[in-house]
Amino acid sequence: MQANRPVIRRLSAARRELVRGDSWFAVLIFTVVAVFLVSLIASVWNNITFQRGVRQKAGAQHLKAVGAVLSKAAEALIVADELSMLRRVLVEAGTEHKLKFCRIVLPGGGVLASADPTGITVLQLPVSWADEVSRPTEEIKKKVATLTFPLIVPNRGSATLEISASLESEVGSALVPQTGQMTIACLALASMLLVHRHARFRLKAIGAIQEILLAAGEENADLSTMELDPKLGVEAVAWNRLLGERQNVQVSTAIQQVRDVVHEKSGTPGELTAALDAVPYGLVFVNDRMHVEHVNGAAAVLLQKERAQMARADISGIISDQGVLDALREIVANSASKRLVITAEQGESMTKGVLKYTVCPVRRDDAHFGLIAIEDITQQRVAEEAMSSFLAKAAHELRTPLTNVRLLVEDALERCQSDPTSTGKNLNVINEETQRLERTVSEILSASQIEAGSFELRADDVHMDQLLQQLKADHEPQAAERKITLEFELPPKLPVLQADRDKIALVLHNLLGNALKYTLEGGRVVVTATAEKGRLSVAVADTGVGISAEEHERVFEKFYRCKNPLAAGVKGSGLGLAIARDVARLHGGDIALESELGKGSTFTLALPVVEEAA
Amino acid sequence: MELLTQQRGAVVIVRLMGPLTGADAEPFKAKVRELIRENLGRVVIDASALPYVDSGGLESLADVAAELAQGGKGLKVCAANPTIRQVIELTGLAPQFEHFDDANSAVRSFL
Repeated sequence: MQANRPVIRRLSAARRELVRGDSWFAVLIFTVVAVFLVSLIASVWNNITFQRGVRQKAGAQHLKAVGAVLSKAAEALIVADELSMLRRVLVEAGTEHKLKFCRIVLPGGGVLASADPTGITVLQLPVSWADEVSRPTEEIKKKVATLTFPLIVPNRGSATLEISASLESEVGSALVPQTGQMTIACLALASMLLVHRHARFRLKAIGAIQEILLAAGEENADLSTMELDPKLGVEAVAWNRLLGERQNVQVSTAIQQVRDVVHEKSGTPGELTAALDAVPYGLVFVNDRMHVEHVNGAAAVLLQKERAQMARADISGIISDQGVLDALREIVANSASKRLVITAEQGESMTKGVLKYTVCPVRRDDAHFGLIAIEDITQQRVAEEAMSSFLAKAAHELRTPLTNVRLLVEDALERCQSDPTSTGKNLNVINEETQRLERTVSEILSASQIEAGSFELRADDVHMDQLLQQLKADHEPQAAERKITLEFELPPKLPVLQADRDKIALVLHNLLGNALKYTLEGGRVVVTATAEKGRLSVAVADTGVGISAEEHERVFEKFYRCKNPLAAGVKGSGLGLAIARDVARLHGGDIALESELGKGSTFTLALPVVEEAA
Repeated sequence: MELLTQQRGAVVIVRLMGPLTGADAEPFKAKVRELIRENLGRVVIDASALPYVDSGGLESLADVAAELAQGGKGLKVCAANPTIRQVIELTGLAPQFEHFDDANSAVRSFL
């Protein structure tokens, strides 16, 4: 794969060089310049040829004129016997007109006169010679013109004037300016082509970039195929560098997006946010500047803050517990790596909230974040405390009668022989104590059943008038014994309830029993029943010791005993009212208390009367 | 409609006395919201004394349930009569509520 890459790159670069950069304009310019150069060369060459022809023709005409003049002069001079003059004229003509040769030839081949004196073969002018009339000839061969003129000398004979001259020098001199022009034009055009080639090479990169940009605009081009061959010049190198940087930016953006999805950094509520909101534990992510990065719905509820207020806020303004803040500071400073569990109470009383904070570090490659998981353990804590308090009080309630029983048994064992009367008394007390023990155990069982939710109600028709009559019959002897007036103010007709008869009876016995226990001799206890709006109320009012306002709620707590010194001698487990209220509530009713210290108390049992059609 | 609140440990039981209708919806929601905020969501709706619910009342219950759900909690309802339970089932709101037979079981669910 690695070995193939340079080859592929070279091939694709070559393809790009062919395809990209060579715009039609560049090709057109190149073609026009080339055609122009060729046509210029052709026209110059044509001109040179034409000029050469003209010059040659003019030279030939000049030579012909010279020959004609010379022939006439020679004829006249031969007639006048002026041979030396003739010879001088020929020499001068040869020099003057740059003739190759200029001579007068007799029919036998003898040279009578010549521009070159060494070529003369006939020294003296003969008196007469053959008369061969020749025709004038004209021959141009290899840029050399040779002309012959017949000379007719009357009475002597005929001769021939031969002159020859080169046309070359004439033509050459005429061609100098043409050649210069041509050279300058060609050089100019050649340099133009060089400049064009260089410019085209430079423009290729820009053209390629332009094409890539157009292609990228039309389709979603892959950046990797947009790379240019660095040979295209500095522009291509710069382009490639830009592409590289863009690719880096794209990659880092993609990484950031993935991170955002994973860490749900973006403010948009995604699936992760919804999932975190469904968690019953409060979760707060704190960044390295101790600011809230993310908070879920449960955290906002548990910390009793608006979620919008918490976003990006300083955590110290949200959580006041110093232990949690210190642990977070250690985590973001990267000096702590273990989780820390802190339990803190919120509000003025424990039932308002006991929160368990678990502070632990969250590793992110670029920073140290802290996570606070918040759990509401209030109910667990309340239940634990209630359980331990219940056990302690139950143990105490059980131990007291047991201790009494043990002491009495020991006493009886000592005196059984000597004092049978006291043994009988002891046995009576033991009997009472064991009965009390039995009642206490039974009440504890009821209370724990209610607590555990296994306290079962057997719903049945409860005829309230019968139940109240029974109650009256059960307690009248006790009231009479303590000289307490017991009155029942009942309406003529009372509704029939859907309830657990035994449990309702237990509640009424507890309420009336308490009223009789805590009312001093000569007092008065009144039981009133009223039925209205689907509700039955039974109020037990006494003129007893009364309960202070602070104790109104506490008397319903399990094992709570009244602190009133007047009631100190009254025996009881402290479970009766707690059970009574739980039973009332399990029936959908309640027990309310109105009382004033020293004046008496009124406990009102309210129970729903279920109508025929709900 | 009357609202009675009882504290059971750290849990508040809200007993609805009388029918829950559209007219009671706003005060009901306001009171329940307040209790939810004060008790960090440890609230049980005791429907044992709730004879019927109309559409407005049902909507207010659903609203409270939706608000609790944003904090990762569910609305715990106990002792609703069969008619109300049937209405909740038929309207498809059942998944939004946690129903318990009695208040004790609802309170224990916070443990």
